[in-house]
Amino acid sequence: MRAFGYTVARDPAEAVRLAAHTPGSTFVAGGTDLLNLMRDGAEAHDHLIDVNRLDLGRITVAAGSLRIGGAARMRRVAEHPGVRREFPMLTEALLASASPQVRVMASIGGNLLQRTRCGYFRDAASPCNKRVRGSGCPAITGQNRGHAILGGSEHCVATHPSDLAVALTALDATVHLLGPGGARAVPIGGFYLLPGSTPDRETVMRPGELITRVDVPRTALAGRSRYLKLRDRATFEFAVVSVAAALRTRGGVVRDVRLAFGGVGTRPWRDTRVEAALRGRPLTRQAIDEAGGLLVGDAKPYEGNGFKVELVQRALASVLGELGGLR
Amino acid sequence: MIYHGSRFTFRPDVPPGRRTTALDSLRDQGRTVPSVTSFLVGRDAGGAYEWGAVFVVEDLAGYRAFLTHPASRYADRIVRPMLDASISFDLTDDPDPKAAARIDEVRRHVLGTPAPSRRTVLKAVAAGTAAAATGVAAPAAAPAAAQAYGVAPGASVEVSMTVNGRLRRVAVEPRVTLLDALRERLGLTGTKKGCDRGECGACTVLADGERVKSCLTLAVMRQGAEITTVEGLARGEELHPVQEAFIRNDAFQCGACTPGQIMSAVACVDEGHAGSEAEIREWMSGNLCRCAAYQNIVAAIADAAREVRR
Repeated sequence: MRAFGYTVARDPAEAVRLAAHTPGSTFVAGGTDLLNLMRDGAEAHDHLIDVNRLDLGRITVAAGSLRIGGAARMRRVAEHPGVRREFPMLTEALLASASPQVRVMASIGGNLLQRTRCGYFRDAASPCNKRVRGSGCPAITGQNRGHAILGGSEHCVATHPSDLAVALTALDATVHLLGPGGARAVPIGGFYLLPGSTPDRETVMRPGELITRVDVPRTALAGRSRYLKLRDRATFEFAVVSVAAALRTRGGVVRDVRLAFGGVGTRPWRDTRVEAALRGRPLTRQAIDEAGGLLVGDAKPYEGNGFKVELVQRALASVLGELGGLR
Repeated sequence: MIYHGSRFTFRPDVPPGRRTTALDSLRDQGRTVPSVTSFLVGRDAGGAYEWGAVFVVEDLAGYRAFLTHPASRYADRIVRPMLDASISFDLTDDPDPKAAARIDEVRRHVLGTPAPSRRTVLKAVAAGTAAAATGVAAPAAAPAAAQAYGVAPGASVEVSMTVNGRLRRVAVEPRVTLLDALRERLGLTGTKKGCDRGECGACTVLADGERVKSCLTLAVMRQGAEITTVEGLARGEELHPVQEAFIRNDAFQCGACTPGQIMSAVACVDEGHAGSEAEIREWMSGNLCRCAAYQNIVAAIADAAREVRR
């Protein structure tokens, strides 16, 4: 790694102020993705601002929502009794992520902002529009087995790698930010950007902003949720396809449903048309198949990832069948 | 025992609210620094100063840990710019006539002006921070202790960690990983560098009791941490139950991944994730073995878990 400076911030306001006044700086919490990005030359920073002493690690179940501090660790969130009880999908998504060691280290904010695992992005010798805008995208005609079938553009088809982000997308979480312009809250559905012609911009975060908290509404629906992750090996691997699903039925009829998908989109993928197709209908194989068909209606598969079109529909059928008690 | 104290008077223009903040930061220092056994922040009855603070630590190691703790640096940075006059002192009941000189040496080493080549710090950032955080003008020469946490690119900073029960200090650049600090600076080569990117787990150590990949964390981020490496597991000649179990079960071939496997396994058993073969395999997934000795590694961990439960 090339040389960089380092400052420990004492409180969130100071962290944000330091970031605004220190050129080429970025925040570091766990560092589990950042250090590799800097080693690989995918990112270069002149200064790291350590946000581990900011008291942003709390996890509280408040009246209307679960509040997760931006610097809370994956392990702590996954093990939190309130999370396990009311948001089983979050615990499942977290425990299906990374390795036990990394879950001890990695923060929630960092998890949401981790960069894609596209091999061309991580290889500084390859062109990549996400790394250097306008340099080209070798993935579209190259190795694209891990890439997106939804939401891509001619400039980028990389997937977002976070399982947690998929689960939070299904649960309508809100991301709280603090920056030079003050504090603001962004619904997670509007947090991640499609690549379009600027795949280097992945979120709506402005320069110098810090994720201070993620809020997840407490609903009965969240308690009936699952995260299904399909991988190339049993564990310690990114998703080929994943489904975050929450379902309430009464008398076999879908009362409410939330669905989000990982591994298939250029951002954590939610399509409310799919949910609408199921809501109010009896949960049958046919209804699920029709919903799955809607999901992949706009899919654009490439040479290596065409199998995802079928796989994501089967994953959806599997998880809904399980949640809905279908045989 | 070492009694580290100071007596001070605030500048007349420091408003009451800021004085309270300053006194609170001193009390926080007493509450959060682990080596402080007792402390008092109160009115100075001697007449020459308004306030006094005394922190009691057990020994020289505790004293050093106190001075280098982030809470101390923080309090120093908050309080110092507000002061009109202050003196500090150290008292000890150690009968050794050289004790005072050793205390003085530690104090000068930690707080004194550092050699520019090793501990050059980013003065602009530190001074700007102090001013912003306290709302008062930073002193022309910011105190050395307040600067120690802003490090310029290419410069080094001193990191204090308790490694295998001993307080160790290393001067490192921010880009030095915990793994490299352990191996290259402290000579603890039991921790292995495999992939150096968090995939293989050979570099697993315990940080404050939890397993981490030491290649994915910077040494500067572990200021004040308690680190255990494979060298610190045995008690004298007596191996840790997990080490014993690895030998009993022949749980290695080439041995390169073994220190990481063992450290991860210690945590795995500790966490209660060694209840079945499937559970062990899932919770040991962050440790790869190129020889594929997994069968025996899993057996060893199950064995160790039974041993520990007994």
